[in-house]
Amino acid sequence: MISWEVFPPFALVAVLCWAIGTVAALRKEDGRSAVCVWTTAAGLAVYTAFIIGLWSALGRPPLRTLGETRLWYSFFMVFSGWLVYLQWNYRWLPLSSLVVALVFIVINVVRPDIHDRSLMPALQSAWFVPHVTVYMFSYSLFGCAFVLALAGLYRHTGQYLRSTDTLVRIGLAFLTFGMLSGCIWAKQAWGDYWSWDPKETWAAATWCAYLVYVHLRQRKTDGTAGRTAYVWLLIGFLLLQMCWYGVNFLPSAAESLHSY
Amino acid sequence: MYWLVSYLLVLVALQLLFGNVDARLAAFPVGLALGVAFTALLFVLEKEYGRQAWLVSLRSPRTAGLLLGGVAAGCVVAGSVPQASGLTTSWPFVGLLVALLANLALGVFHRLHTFRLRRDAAFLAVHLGIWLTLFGGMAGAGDKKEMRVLLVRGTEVDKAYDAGGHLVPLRYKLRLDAFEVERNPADGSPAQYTAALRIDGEPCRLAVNSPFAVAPGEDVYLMDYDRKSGDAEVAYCVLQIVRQPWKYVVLSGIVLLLAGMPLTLTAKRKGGCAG
Repeated sequence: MISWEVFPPFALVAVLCWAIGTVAALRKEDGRSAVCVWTTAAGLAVYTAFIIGLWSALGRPPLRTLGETRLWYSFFMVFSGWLVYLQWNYRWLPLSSLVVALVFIVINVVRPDIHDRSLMPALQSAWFVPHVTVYMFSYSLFGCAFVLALAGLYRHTGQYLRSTDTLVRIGLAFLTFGMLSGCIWAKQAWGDYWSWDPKETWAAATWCAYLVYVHLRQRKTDGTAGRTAYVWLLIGFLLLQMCWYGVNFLPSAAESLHSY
Repeated sequence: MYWLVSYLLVLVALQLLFGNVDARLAAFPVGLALGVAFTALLFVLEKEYGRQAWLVSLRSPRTAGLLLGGVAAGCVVAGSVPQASGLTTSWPFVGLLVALLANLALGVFHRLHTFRLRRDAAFLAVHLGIWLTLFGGMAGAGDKKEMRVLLVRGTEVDKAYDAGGHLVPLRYKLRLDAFEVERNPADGSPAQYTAALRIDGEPCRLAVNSPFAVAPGEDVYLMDYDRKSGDAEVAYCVLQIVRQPWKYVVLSGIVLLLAGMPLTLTAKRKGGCAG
């Protein structure tokens, strides 16, 4: 019978597989690393086995406690990263997915008390896991774009713009899905798709900042416009930090519907 | 850039003269009529003056970028102050969103003139999706009504309180038959709660995240219950009734935008945004 007690060995095997895949992807300069594809798939299979086992042992979908939702975050972080790697072969992507997934896995290992802590009723929704997971995935992509923008500004070069274009395109698609799934969920839970709650307002600011970048890049110039584009990536990432956790430190957060 | 500064100055003047925009002024049929007239005007402008420099500039990605930057700045301010300050209903903020609607509509109309499926599918799905979502949210803001009902077990209610505290008649009767609270074994806090209601005699169940569509555009939500009851029988529950006839327009925009996202990932990158 699978329970949380056997999570550490399952997680260890999966993380080892993903780490091997990450190293293989980083070492492969051109094209796709078959080692990365298969070891990541093997790690996902091990992780999936744990989820199915836990689901079966609990007799319900494991979606009700904090620990259970973090299980899904980590799974989908690696799974989304794997799918994007299959499509676009970005060698650094498995690393960024693994780092974020690892954060949630470590929390689940070192904080066993969260395994049984029930989610409040408003969070018990089929939208919860996809809403949060796609956000997390887009955050990891925007994090990479932020680092490249800093490097581009420091080195006075536009050579990273092609990479940041792709990162933002994929990140924005996931961020948009996160926002829209949040809208549909908000209608189900609170009665309206959008209510200008502080968290939503900062999410809109973040979304607009990355859309500014996309529209700036339509002109495809690498000089001053390239620098401006990099600056918008920095602004977008700072706004994202505000949306993610910074908003909690503002006075406006006291009335937020997103305070859990 | 100068036109945008002038436009913002006019909006600031309107703000100083009239205070915040009152969404109730746009209630049916005003919101619908204004929305249709505004869209028709943009269609005619695009058709008649679509090649002129000023209109090309209005629908350009550069203008979109400027407006989006303005909206982002507005959101930063609005997200930093208490929500009650109403910055998102101020004339400058609403005016920026209206200008964004115009930029989107002009871009969509322009693409429709020279439509080619493979080239334009992603652009149209995304831009039309955002336009529908914004349009439905703004033009329909005046038609949205939120009401509350305190429903005591065993009594029948056919009126609700609106946001102003006035009693509003409902087109149906509500009755609470039973209420179940599922508690966490660890700390006894409520894990989930469900109300068994009768709406005009027909049984239905309400839970958090699970509203009941009582009529087209009208949903009943379970908001709260008699938390002081402890282990005793719950005496009452609080319901929220939301009338939002434009919800279908907003939802269709969201669905279109969702469909457009994978297309943006697979579309070949070439050409400008709307010019």
